[in-house]
Amino acid sequence: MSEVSANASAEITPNIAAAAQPAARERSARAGSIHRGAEHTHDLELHCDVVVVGSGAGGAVVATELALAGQRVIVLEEGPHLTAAEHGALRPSESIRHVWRDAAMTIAWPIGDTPPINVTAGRVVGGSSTLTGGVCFRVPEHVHEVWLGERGLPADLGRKAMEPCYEAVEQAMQVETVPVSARSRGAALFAEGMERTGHALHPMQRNTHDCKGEGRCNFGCPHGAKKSVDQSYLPRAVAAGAEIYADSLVERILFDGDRAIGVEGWVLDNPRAKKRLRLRVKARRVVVACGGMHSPMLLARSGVGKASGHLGKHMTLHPGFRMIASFDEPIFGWRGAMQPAFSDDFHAERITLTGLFIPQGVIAATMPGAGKRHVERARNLRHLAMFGGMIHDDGGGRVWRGPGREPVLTYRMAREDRAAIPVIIRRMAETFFAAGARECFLPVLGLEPVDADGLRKLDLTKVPAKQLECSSQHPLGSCRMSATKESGVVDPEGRVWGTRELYVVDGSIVPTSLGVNPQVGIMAMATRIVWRMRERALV
Amino acid sequence: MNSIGGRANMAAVSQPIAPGLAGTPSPVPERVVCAAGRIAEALFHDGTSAPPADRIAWLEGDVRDFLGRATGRARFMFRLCIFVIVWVGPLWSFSLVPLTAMAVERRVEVLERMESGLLAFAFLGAKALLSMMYYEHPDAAREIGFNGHPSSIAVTPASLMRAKR
Repeated sequence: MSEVSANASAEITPNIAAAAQPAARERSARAGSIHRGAEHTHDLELHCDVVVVGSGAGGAVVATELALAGQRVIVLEEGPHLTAAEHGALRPSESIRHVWRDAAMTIAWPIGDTPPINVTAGRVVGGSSTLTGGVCFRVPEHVHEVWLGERGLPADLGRKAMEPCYEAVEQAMQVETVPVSARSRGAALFAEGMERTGHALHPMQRNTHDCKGEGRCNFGCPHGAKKSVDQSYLPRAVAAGAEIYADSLVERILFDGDRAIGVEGWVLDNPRAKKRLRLRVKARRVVVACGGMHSPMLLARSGVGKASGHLGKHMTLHPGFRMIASFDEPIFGWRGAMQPAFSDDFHAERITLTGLFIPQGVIAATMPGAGKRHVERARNLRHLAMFGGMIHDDGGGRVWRGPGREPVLTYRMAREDRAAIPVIIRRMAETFFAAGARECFLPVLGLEPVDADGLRKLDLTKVPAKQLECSSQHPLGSCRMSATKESGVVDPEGRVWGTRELYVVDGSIVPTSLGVNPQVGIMAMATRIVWRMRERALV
Repeated sequence: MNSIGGRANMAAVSQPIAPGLAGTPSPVPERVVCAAGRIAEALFHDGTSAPPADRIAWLEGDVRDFLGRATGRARFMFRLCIFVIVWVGPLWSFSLVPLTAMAVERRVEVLERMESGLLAFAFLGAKALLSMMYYEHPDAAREIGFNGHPSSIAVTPASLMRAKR
């Protein structure tokens, strides 16, 4: 294992020009293809230079950059492959049953004074990138400073040193600023409320091009406007010769001593994920990119990464809360870009606010009541506005091997994070009331809606954690990157400590909570790692 | 758009539309599907009447398809939610009768009591999935004023139209 270089940033810079000019290299490459599991009739035995396990934000970047560099790359993805048109044609509930992991029913089980948290992720070619609202934040400067300071990571993980990585990612994903005109009426009202309370709402950066504002990005864009990695990176990887195998589950990594030499698993009969054919890939380098929930599981099943005592620990989730507000005027909250604006004004309180909208049926479900009360509230749908917020949390999550294929998650919320929940709920409700909302539906199970006066009288610190409605789309840090082998699972190059030719490149290696949507941060880290990886000779 | 189908046709409510989603859903126990339907009747009861029978039948068909395509743990979680609602929920309302055997008005009372108690999370799990599917039905979507992109609303599956003809 090589020593960590504090001056390693210089290694990144020479690659900027090459990264910025992918077209020339792509033209000279041999095209690969995307294989669906149903195509195969016999067990598969494949050979390549690099096998990438997972096709999400991390894996797609690695696969693309290596394929463009002329390496023979195979990508294995457990989920199915859908075109943009196929994604966009699915109803939200069809998207959930087909391409969301665990049909969106994964729970981080609470320990102590913690709410149960519904954790969602993608299980499809393109991974969770296909299910985001397109939000693109760079990792905040103060988080980079923590990495270099408290975490002792090398200088090239600083914000300035990673600038070329961010630029390459944002260019590839066509990141653009959402114009004010694309905001839904609900987001516009929230902006008014922010202004009246002395705060600001800023335009969001998103990876979209020609967004029509249908408000259903989480379930596939019906116009293909969202440039998730299945639309931006992976087509370039295939054009450069990468082979992508959908419906392919990896169960373990193969080793020769401490050197990774391939993976084995199964071709699945999706959507039920039944094992159908055996799969074995021999490779000179293995990259694990299964995300914050499954990368630690794969390492554990393969018997590596445990020595440090950190595998599967320190998982952060960005616990998120929504606020629904009812206005007298019609809102039609589904008209407009889904996540058009954000506010970091409450950063000191560990809070980031972002625009949000969810399917009509889920909005109806999150308002209290059954029977007549439920139906009356649902029929008020067009008058409802929504906004969301998340907490920049400490790493209280843990990934455990469960009885089946899916991991068991637990989460113990830090005291400071728990204290931020009443603040985030109150801030969002007050903002909507300042904009003229009649009443707000707080994310508290069974709680009747409150008006402005009711909110003032409500002691949110007394609401039991188990009654809070909380969700997360950002499981991070369960194989965290560290400066020493005693304090994490992978080194600053993404290599698993104590092994050779085994990398982890996804959200699981993020050293700390980010406090913002992590897609671009993960991809920038992946870019930094793969630019170095491709310079390192394959043995 | 009109209401669609009859109970006999409902198993085919959601046809795979993409090659990557090909495959026949696995069988799902009918008692789970029926229990989901009885919960939906109460959940979407407007105070005067339960939703039209054909709409509940459509929903049951979609629940069957959903569970038939979901992976093991998702099926387990949904069935656990249904079990808690049907068998444990009534105990919170001092009843030994399973929810599915109650009159629809009584079912509404039991569900509302669950929502503000310890069983709220189980109720939310089932309520979220049932609501999501229910309000994708074109008639239900229209009733709540949703007029978003057409792909967020179910269309009459071609197979059902053929069967009706």
